[in-house]
Amino acid sequence: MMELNDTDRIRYQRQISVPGWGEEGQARIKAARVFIAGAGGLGSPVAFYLAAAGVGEITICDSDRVELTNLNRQLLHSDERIGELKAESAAKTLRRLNPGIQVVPNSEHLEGTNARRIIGKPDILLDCLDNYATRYVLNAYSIEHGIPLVHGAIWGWVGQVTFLSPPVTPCLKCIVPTPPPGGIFPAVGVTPGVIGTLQAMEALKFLTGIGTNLMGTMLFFDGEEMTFNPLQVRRGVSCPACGHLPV
Amino acid sequence: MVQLRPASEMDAPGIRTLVHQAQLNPLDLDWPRFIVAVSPDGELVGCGQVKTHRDGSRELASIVVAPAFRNQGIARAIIEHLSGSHPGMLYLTCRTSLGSFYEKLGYQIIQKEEMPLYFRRISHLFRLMNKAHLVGDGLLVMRREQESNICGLAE
Repeated sequence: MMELNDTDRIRYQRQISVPGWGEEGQARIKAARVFIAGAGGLGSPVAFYLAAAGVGEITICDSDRVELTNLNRQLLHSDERIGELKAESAAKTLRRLNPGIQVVPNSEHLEGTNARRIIGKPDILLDCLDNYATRYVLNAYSIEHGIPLVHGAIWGWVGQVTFLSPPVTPCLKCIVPTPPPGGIFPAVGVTPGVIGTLQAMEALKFLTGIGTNLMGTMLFFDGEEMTFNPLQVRRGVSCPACGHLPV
Repeated sequence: MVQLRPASEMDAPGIRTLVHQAQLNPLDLDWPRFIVAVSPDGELVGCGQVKTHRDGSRELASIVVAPAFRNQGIARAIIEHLSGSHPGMLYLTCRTSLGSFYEKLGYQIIQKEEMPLYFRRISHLFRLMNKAHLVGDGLLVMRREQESNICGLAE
């Protein structure tokens, strides 16, 4: 277990004082390693909040470069970063936000063949991606290595979030067996803000051991109608990704 | 010739597989409510059930025929069997593309105001998934209104 120093005790005082969190919970956060796949609209709030909370080591992976069209929602980046690799830009922002944590940028494209080297053995995976091909790579890694995955996705005003930890929960392929149509999708900047923030909340609860995660529940948010709707989700008995795991 | 019979406990895994492969609702698949279609060599090739929701509404659900046995009237036979054995009002949900098939079997599309709570909620969730681009087709809620032929009582 990581020891907290005096600066930690001051910096994280307001969350240490949350019932059940305490110095022990903060020490768990400090010892934690997380992998954030995607440094875009979802990855921004996820990375900001996990860094601010004092997560000891954050790997953030994205092979894209910052573009002007990203800036309505990808708050890790700004005008002067246009053209920079998003992972590097994210690391600069996060280190400035919290110099007391380790940020590891990775600008490779995540694939099945390099996943083991890029991801390693974090405590939790965060799906902040914008395409299902890579989401399925992350899902397969989560299943193979038994690492929980917090899935988040958005389209326009709508987004969804769930906590995946098969065989206790379904995997992503149980819930979304075939990839929805890809391509450039519309995004109200606040939508990934809401969903990414919920993903960060799910990760912090898991890392501290506090509360209940969205296991077996996909939470849908519709910003246009300002509704949250939980949908119960179950494992697919013949799921090609996790069907081999015990029921 | 494919035959229909009430499901037995041994059919439960096959029912789950059929429903999952068809990407239908994987919840509430209790085998005692099901009828199954079985090929001459005993293979489970289709299924269907009527389930009752907490709001009291009843749903014709989990209607599946294995791909190799489609276009032989098996789905129609399952639906007619279940409809006949469950007189009174029955609801169903289906993809928009299947609406005309169910219309031929006496079901009519209903609007949100006419839906029981369960179907209003399902319809809303499906619309959300559609809005989130997780599903490509729309969802219809349909209803069959039929006088009971048991003791002449309408439900």
